Amino acid sequence: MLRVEDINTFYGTVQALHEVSINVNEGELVSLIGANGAGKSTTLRTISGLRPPAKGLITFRGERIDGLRAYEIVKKGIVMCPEGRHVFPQLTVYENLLMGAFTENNKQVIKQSLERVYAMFPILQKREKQAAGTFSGGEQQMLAIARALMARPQLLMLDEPSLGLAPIIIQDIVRIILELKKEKMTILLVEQNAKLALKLSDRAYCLENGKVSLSGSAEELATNPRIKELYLGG
Amino acid sequence: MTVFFQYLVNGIVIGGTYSLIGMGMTLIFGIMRIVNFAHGEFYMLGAYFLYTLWAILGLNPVLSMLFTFVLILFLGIGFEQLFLRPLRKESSTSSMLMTIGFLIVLQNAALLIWGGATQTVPTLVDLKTFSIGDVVFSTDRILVFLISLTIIIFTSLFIGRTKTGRSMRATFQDMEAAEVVGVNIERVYSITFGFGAALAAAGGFLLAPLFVISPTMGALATSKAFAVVTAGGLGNVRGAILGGLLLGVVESLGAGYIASGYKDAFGYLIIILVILFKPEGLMSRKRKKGVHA
Ligand SMILES: Nc1ncnc2c1ncn2[C@@H]1O[C@H](COP(=O)(O)OP(=O)(O)O)[C@@H](O)[C@H]1O
Ligand SMILES: [Mg+2]
Repeated sequence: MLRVEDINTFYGTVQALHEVSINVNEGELVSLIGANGAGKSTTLRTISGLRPPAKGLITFRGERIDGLRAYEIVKKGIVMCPEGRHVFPQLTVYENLLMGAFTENNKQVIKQSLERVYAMFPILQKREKQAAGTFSGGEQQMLAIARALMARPQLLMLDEPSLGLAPIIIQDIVRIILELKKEKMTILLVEQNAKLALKLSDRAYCLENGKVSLSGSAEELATNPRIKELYLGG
Repeated sequence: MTVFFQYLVNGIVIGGTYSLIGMGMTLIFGIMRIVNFAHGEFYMLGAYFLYTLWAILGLNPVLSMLFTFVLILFLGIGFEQLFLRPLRKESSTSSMLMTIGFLIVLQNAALLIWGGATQTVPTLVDLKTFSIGDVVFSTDRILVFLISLTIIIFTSLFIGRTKTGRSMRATFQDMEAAEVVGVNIERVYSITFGFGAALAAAGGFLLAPLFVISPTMGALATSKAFAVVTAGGLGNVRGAILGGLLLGVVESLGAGYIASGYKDAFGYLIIILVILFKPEGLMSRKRKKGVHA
């Protein structure tokens, strides 16, 4: 479904990605693991058009999408839930969700999406009129995921959804991800918490210093000695 | 006391147009993070477009205003796309220097087209006056105020209630998040600049019949816009509305009670006092900023 081939991405003169190649098939949950600064977020930002690659090829359902602008990529069905949540702090929950459906013009469809995410996150409906900035970190993460779902993504990219959250909240997030997985949503998950990521995913890639160092099924990676030592605490 | 109320009424009428000019500048600043130094030149063009369409070509005055608003909207959008968009990757200083370029070009274009002599624009309606108590109201000024109010309400609804307005507020609060949800932020920038310029033009065409117009009239308007925006808080639309009314009233009272020669200096006084004592703007609760409807 998504093919990323040999991409290089730069910040100014600093090269953050070196010939990164990854694949995501329809209905799969694939995760990107790796240490802080390895280039996980940059990979997602490159796919989503925020930071176009200097070299390489990205195709989605056989169509080239590298070089498209971010909003055009959202229209193709690739939606990112960014690291650090990035909800709109002074918009209400309802307005945040409407912003999630920005590329959708059919009011009926938007209404259905809204009912769906409210069913998934009842707390959001209860606090519909509250400004998102007043929410706790966990609630903001829920809202950020809900906002991404409002766009009815074909490929959902989640960047560190568990970052900085209490274990009990992480359980909620995991429940949501598993629910989406059961619905056969295609997901590309970025996590520093490799244990969690490998538990949830079908396949995984490990990034080190902007390069893919290892890839394989989640079980393969979970039992790989190097991964065990570096990311799973021995 | 009657005199006081008379000054107050006059100040509010003029202040409504300052609100428009300030709203335009604060929108552009809030969303694009640049000070539009050519703001007063769009204000000047508003006055001259009304002069041309109505006083010279004889179009209906209200229709002339509507045309002017739309024309300046598109002129602003065009300028943004042609000259500011290519500078997006540079620092915001480059964009601000570019707006100084707009100022020079527009001012000289106006000189070339309409000449350097001042012009007058007839009043919008037959001039009649009536009084409530001893406070005198004149029909032309009431009309100016009503039109200002209409545009203010229209702008607030646009920003607060429409999808485009929501995407403007979202872009202001978190540009990257706006991109992530699929907002074409280049489009938001263009619309913001065009709309901001059109609001300045509205201030210009509303004040044109009350004062004389000249190609260099923009400088003063820009400095007043600074005063309004400083008082209201940078990027705060509601603050700009109140800031405009405040400046109008302070000018009017100052001119009446202190010295009319210093009328235009009161704006600077407001800037200095606000920056000294409440730099985040009179309206804002601390740390809370945003483009509000
Ligand atoms: N905005 C930026 N400007 C410059 N360098 C950046 C920027 N964002 C990330 N980097 C650099 O790119 C590399 C990869 O970062 P990132 O993709 O955020 O890593 P990860 O998400 O895996 O923690 C790091 O070395 C980081 O310092
Ligand atoms: Mg990251």
